[in-house]
Amino acid sequence: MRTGILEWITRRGWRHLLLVAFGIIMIYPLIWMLTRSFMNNSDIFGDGAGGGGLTLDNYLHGWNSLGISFGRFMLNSMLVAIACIVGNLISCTLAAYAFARLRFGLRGPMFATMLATIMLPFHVTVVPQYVIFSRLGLTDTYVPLILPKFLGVESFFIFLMVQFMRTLPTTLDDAAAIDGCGPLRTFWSVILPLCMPAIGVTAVFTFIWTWNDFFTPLLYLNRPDLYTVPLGLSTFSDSAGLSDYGALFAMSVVTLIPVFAVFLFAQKALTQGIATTGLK
Amino acid sequence: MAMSVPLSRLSRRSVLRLAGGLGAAAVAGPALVACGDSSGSGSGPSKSASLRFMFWGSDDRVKRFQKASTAFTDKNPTIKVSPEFGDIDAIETKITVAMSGKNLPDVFWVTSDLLPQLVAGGHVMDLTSHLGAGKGIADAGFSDAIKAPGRLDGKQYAMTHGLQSIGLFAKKNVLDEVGIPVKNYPDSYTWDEYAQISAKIHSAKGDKFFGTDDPNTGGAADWFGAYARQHDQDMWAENGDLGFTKDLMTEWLNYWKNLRDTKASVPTALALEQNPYFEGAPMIRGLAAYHMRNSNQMLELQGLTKDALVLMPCPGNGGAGTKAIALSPNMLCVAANTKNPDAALKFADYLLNDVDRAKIIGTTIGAPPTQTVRDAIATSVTPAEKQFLTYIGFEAGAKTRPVRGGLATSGAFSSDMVKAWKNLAYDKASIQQTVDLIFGDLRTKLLKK
Repeated sequence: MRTGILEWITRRGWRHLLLVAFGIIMIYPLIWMLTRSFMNNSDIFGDGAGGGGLTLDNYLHGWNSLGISFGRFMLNSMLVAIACIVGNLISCTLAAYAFARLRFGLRGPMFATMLATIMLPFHVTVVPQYVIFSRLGLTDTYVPLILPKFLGVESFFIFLMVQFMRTLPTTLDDAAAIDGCGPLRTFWSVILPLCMPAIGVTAVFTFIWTWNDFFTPLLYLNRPDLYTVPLGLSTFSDSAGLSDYGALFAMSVVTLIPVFAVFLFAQKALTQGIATTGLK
Repeated sequence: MAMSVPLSRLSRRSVLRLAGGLGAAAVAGPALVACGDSSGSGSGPSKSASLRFMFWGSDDRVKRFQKASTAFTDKNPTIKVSPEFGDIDAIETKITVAMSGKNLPDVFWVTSDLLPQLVAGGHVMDLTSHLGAGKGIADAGFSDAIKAPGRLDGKQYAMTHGLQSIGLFAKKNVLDEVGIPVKNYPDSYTWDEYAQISAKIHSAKGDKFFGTDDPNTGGAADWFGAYARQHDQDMWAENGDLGFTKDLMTEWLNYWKNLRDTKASVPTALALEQNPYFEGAPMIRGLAAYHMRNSNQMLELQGLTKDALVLMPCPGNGGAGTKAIALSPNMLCVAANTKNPDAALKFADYLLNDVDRAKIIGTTIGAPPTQTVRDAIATSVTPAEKQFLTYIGFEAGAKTRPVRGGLATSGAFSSDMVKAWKNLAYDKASIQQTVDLIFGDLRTKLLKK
């Protein structure tokens, strides 16, 4: 028996054990946060005056803090995330189709310019973008968060889809053309259904990035009832004042649930997409 | 052979369909805009006005300001106030970007570091002509020293909202145990005494307990500012240059190196294991006797421990040193381009002078700026807050030198200087290198137009 275990460890088991150990290290912060979400503030940090018991107060208090339900923040985030997914899917697939399949003047330079914007740090465009939206009177609305997604600003996703579409045989376009399809019909009926793995990746990543985005909502949203989840979470902590870490951790756990659910349901599409688009 | 579809084959019908889709999006757009419409109307308090008020803070402070804003609207039904809030760093970022779009809130808090930048860009209202009974903001009881932090080039751009200063906190039972006296104004420890006491505490309480935390690594540049003032120098010279000498900075850094070397202060890595404020303060974590921070944090800090806390003056600020006392208040500004200037001034006046407002907010933002309001709330506050009010009352009444403001670049300088101090504390640089950096690159950046 002992020899069997030793043999297993020396042959294959050490890899499993290493992975398990690595997994525990990776998940430790999450477990730490989960356990702290059931503790009193003084037991999380500070002098431990809370007595060390477990409590649900953080969840109850955090959910109804600031006179606005945390559910409202989650609903706001969901609305923005869904709109961003729709925007990205429409604009990125269309732009990618144009770059991958259509012939038009300056296609190469335009594609190169689009690619170059991937390298552009987000912070470079923050101020000009803010000035534009401010002059249009669109601050304190969700428009600055959503509208850019409909304008194909996510060059990373466009590039991803272009690469995917290029792997599809062009004979499909020819066959569609023979059947009388124009470019949009070919796009809609032939190319798009075959791009599902890339669409899945785009949708999942757009959801996660939008759900977790703190900076853009911080700049554009003023009224607390419009806040998204990251802004809502930030109201529990302040470096110049007292922070409610218990509520912060409790609501962080709640916030993770939708992201976890999306990962769970979209896992197949995601792995398929990652495998077939070369996204690693 | 790869074959792609020529663009010319896009049919008119296809384009029209696409246009239809975009049209639908355009219809949906205003709906999203409507979700967040917050425009104000009217130009005076007699007409309806909507104000944005931005401050920093979390949970408890937010609730208090929400309550105070509602109370203001109850008194002034035509003026609606929307409080906006967040972490101080997030608010600073937001204000910095909002400046570019000329979209600042009507009334907002500002740090002394950001004020020069706001003034230089013409973003905040010059309040000078609006100060006085019946002029907008009543300033009776605001001494010159209290108004000074909000004044630049002889004009009043911000008003002190919550009085605060640096303060030395300690757990009284620890001091009693080691036999160290508590000092109250007009007395204070000298800096030499403070070093000796801190070392004595470490010797008496064992290897895992230290005398004091180190304000330099904690990010509080105000303590060096106080040291400079005690030596008749300042953070900023009249022309905005550095107001202290290389020798003084070297002396200060040597003082703290000595405390680290003798274990009179908490080792840097241990102190910065957690955010060294509030819950993470070494004093609260049971690692040190003293905590050097802002005096207005008395209420919050007392709430974090069962041991009674005492609030004492900065070493060297008592006795003959009271002229060096410096108030570093939370300040209130009014946006230069507010659509409702009268309503904004009325709200600012309420925040500064109203007793009911002061009772709602308490001392969480600092003490009310006038003695009249401080006296009015003294009966309704906790013993810890009362201790703070007594402390700040002495400082507000002391004959002090006004604090000089810095250039628009002073905020970035202070932040870089704290980073340099941290590198020194982690032994990544020597004192000489740190001083050279401060008086070299950082000073050049400070003076860059």
